[in-house]
Amino acid sequence: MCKSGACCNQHKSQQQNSCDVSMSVIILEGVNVSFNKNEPVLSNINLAVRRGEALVILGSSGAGKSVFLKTLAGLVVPSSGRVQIEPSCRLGMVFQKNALFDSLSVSENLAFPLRESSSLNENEIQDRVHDALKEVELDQAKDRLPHEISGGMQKRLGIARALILRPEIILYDDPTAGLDPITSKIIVELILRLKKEFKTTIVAVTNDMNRAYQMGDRISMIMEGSLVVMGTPEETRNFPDIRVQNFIQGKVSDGTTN
Amino acid sequence: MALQIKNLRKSFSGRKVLDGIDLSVSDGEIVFVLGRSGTGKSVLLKNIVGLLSPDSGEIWLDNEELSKLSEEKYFPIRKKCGMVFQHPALFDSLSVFENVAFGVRRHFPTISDEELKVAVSDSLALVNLDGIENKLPSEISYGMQKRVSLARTVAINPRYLLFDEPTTGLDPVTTNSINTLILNLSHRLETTSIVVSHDMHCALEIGDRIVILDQGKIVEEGKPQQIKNSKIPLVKEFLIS
Repeated sequence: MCKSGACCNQHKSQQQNSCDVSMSVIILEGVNVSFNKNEPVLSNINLAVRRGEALVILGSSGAGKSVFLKTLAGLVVPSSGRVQIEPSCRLGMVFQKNALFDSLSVSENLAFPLRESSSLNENEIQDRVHDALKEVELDQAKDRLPHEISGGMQKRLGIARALILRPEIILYDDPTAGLDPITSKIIVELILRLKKEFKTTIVAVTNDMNRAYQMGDRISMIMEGSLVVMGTPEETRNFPDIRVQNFIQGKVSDGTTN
Repeated sequence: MALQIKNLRKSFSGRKVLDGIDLSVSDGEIVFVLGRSGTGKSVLLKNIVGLLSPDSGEIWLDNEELSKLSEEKYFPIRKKCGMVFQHPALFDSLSVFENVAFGVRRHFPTISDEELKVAVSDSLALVNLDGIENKLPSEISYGMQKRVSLARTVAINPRYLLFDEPTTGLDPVTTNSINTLILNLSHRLETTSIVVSHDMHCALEIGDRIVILDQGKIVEEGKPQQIKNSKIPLVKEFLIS
């Protein structure tokens, strides 16, 4: 059940944040994922993510980026290989569509995970919600319903909710999809500020090269089921693989812009 | 002027979303409408195709004033104005062929089976798709679904193409191919196009003119070169974000 460590919030919220600083907190060894025997989605993925690092995952639609995140979260079980999450690290996930509770107010959305998987009392819950609201500048909107706030605010709420259990690792599935570039930039600034403040490790999927460069300590790409790690934004810009260059410049594979 | 919008206003529960929009679009032009989320870009498109009606102001399309038309009278207008939604909005249970044929049958009820086949395959060829007529939407990639939704829109021979964020959330390669299609379709079909978008890069590349909305008003307007040199802070921020 708890192979990946993603589903153990109940026990782990009792523990203190003791995630080891010095080591890799996510290690993948020879991970294969397939839903249908003939077409593996991910094949032989090997990866180590260091604590406090932000790793960006690129890839065209259908390449398997979301499947990759779900594999890390333990929502998809690999057909072979090992996904190792440092046992003292808890995992949070921000979904592309936020997956907020429509019928709960902004502050109730934040309180929900605390009520479900922490032993905090009502006062402590209210304090934590209050802090989280300030953190993402939603205090003015705390009593509104999700559909009464803008897309950027919904995204900030999704991030705040994922952070409220203070996970050491956060997975972001396309955190700026559908937002305008100015809002996107502000969301990534928020993600990076929270990363620094809580020393979280980030794995983030994005399709937007500007956001990838802004966010990633390292940038990687899923191509034909394999994960290629290009490196820093600078190394990514100069990465010699033609498929990577075509992708970041938006060219189709024969070198023309279609 | 093919399309002329005069002092268009629209509020929702007291919040002014469109606050006096004046916009003219010439025949054959590709106009990009850019702005932050929630500035009324989609509301503007929906007013043109009559999915929303303005509180005040006028919308002139080919010398006909639309803002007070009844739902019934809007039917021929929608045949002239093909709208491409942000998400492909295909019918899951219908094949690609049936998805494209659906609108054609509705707008041209007397079309023969042969003519319908030709119309569908011509439209799919325009978006560089063939041989997928019998597939279901779930069996093709998201980029292909977007192209099918384009084919569906052009299949009824609209004079106007209205795009609502056609490349939002797409990877750079698919974004480029959709942008190229918008440009090629507009030229080949001689349509007038309005593209609501967040993508300044693509607006500069394929737009004849760019209009920037902020808080329900047009704050800047011009050819790509003029936009690049704009002094408006919002526009400058868009250019560097």
